[in-house]
Amino acid sequence: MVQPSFDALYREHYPRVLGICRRLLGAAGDAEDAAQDTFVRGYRAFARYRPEDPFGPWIGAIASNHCIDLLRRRQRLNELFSDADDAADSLPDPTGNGVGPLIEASDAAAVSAAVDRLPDRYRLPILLAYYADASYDDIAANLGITRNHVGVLLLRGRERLRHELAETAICRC
Amino acid sequence: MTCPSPLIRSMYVDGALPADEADALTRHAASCADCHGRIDALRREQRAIRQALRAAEVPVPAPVSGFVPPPTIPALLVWLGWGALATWAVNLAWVTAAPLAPPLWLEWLAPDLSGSAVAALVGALVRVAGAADQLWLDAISAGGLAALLLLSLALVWLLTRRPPTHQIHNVPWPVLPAVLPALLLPLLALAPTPGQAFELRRDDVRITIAADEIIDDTAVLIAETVLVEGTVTGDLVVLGERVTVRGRVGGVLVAMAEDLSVEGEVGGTVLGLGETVNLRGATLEANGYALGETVSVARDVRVAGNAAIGARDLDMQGSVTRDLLTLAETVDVGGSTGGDLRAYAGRVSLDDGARVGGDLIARVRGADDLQISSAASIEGETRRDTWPERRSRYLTADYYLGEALSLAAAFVFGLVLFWLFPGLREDRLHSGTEVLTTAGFGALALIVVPIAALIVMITLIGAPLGLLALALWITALYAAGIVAAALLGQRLLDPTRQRPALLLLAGLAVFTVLTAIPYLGGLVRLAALLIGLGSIVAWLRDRWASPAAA
Repeated sequence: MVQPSFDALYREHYPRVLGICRRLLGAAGDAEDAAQDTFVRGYRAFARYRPEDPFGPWIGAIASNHCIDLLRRRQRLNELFSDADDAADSLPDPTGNGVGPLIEASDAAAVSAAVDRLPDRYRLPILLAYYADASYDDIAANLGITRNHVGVLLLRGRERLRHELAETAICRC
Repeated sequence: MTCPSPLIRSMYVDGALPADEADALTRHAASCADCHGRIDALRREQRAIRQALRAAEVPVPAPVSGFVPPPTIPALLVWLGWGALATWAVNLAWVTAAPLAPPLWLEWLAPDLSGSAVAALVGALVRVAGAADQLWLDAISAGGLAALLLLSLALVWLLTRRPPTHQIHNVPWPVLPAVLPALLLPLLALAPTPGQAFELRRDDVRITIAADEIIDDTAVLIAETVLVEGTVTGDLVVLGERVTVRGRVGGVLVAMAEDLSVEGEVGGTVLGLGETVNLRGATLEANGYALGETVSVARDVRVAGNAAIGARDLDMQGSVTRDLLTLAETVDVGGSTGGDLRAYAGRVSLDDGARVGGDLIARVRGADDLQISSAASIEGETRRDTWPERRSRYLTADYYLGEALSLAAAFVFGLVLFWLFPGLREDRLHSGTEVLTTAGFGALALIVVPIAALIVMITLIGAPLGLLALALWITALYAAGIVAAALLGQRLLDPTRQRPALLLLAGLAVFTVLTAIPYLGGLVRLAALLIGLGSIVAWLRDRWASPAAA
């Protein structure tokens, strides 16, 4: 019944899908269940998958969608993203404040932990963009916001990340 | 081009700008050292985040087992279809094989070998041929039931569908109230719909619906004395010590009273329960069912459908257009039936003027206990029969078949139950105190739930809610025995619960044997009910406290 190729794809991509689910859901839920559900959804939608496209991003997008759905059900993500206060004009200039290279200088574990500490409104876009490799359009559709809003949240999120890391660095001294 | 905003630069680095804007920015950055530097810094930062997130990944081994596809709806329907067919077949076999006497074709299984297998087969064929029309009716009703069952199960499946590669650990809490009604759909079909309004009247002493009064609705009347002389266009439910319904009821009449008297015209089915039930001058447009110590039906009563009456003493002078079934100690029939008259009684007498349009099938105590007046007429044939000598139920094949069927039903129910809610299998009885506490909670649930449901039904607009609670309660009573049996199986065989289905079956088998022991069986049943109910309560409590953990 199963196309052998789907079984092979499952074995190959399961770890990454589980990684995405773990990352996105954080402490909020059972990542293994979500990963299974992702593949079930993928299996159902497999007829629409074009073999010439890479499978990883395709199933990754399903995983992200599913996890955001789960989070949406548990929290009120809509409220998180419905704020209109992310005006683009008041945005900081990343390289202007002297903390630009901080992320590069910090070790991976510290950056990763700092991402997890971010509020969902910044954490999710950053994870979707830089971990799940989702496009702005996908993130926008996924979170129910505009494409521009995605850009704003990413910009602000990175700034928050820098602050997080700077504070951690200061604490260590 | 002037220097772009930070947002544009960020989107540029993220590759999110439209191609023409991106090209323009690329050209600009080539000539603007500031922008070039900022973009470069952004790019390095973005790369660093990506790498950090990748590096922090906890390594996961590739799954050992392959992907098991979820059942698709058609596959599920095929299985359900087989299930329905099997149900129907069992039903058919049951109808064919289980009249009151031990079925002929099973007699060769019984200790007293009275016929050959060939004779048994012939007997079964004859019975099937003879009961063909009944079988068709049963097939149709079984088909309807199967369709409802299918619908319910499909709904359950839709609500809980999960891949079979892992167990359902946490069906979200809201699914529970959603699933159980689905299971109870057939029951709910009988209950009033929530949208249906009704009028409730209560009085400690007396309620009278005067002759000129019309209740254009369903009415529920509760009082010590209730007299209905007016009209109720909907259904009428009456509870009281003395109840008289003299007016017209458009729908169903359900009446419970010490003294019940029905004298009016009823459009729907009548269900009457009372110590004494009297029907005088009543016209029943549909079927009539009565249960009482003394039931008397006067000559001027007409029942357009079938009638079934259970009583100690039955005086039946009225006319029934179709079949009449009686189960009583003494039955006096002076009226007429258009169809068959089946009388299961100690003594039956057909008086002068009694007329049976179909067959008379009477089972009485002794040969002299069926008396038919010479002035009575019976169009069809008369089949008389006496009750078999009371044999020990343990010697009848029916008993074992019945036990086996109920065991199978409990097993299937248990499988579904534990598949949906694995937490119910949890053994919470770690000490003697916990056993007692659990049983205590079980007793509490046993008593409190129906009382609360009744109060809700009477005091609030929540009749459907109360009915639902009662239905859930009845389901829980059934489930309690199964939960207790599963715990028993686990305790006896394997506390690690490696093969839950087998343990459930073993537990149920042991439970069935234990409950079959005279006297002790009743105690076992009660203990199982209390502990099972208590376990369900404890499980609900845990689930409520931490939905994820349960």
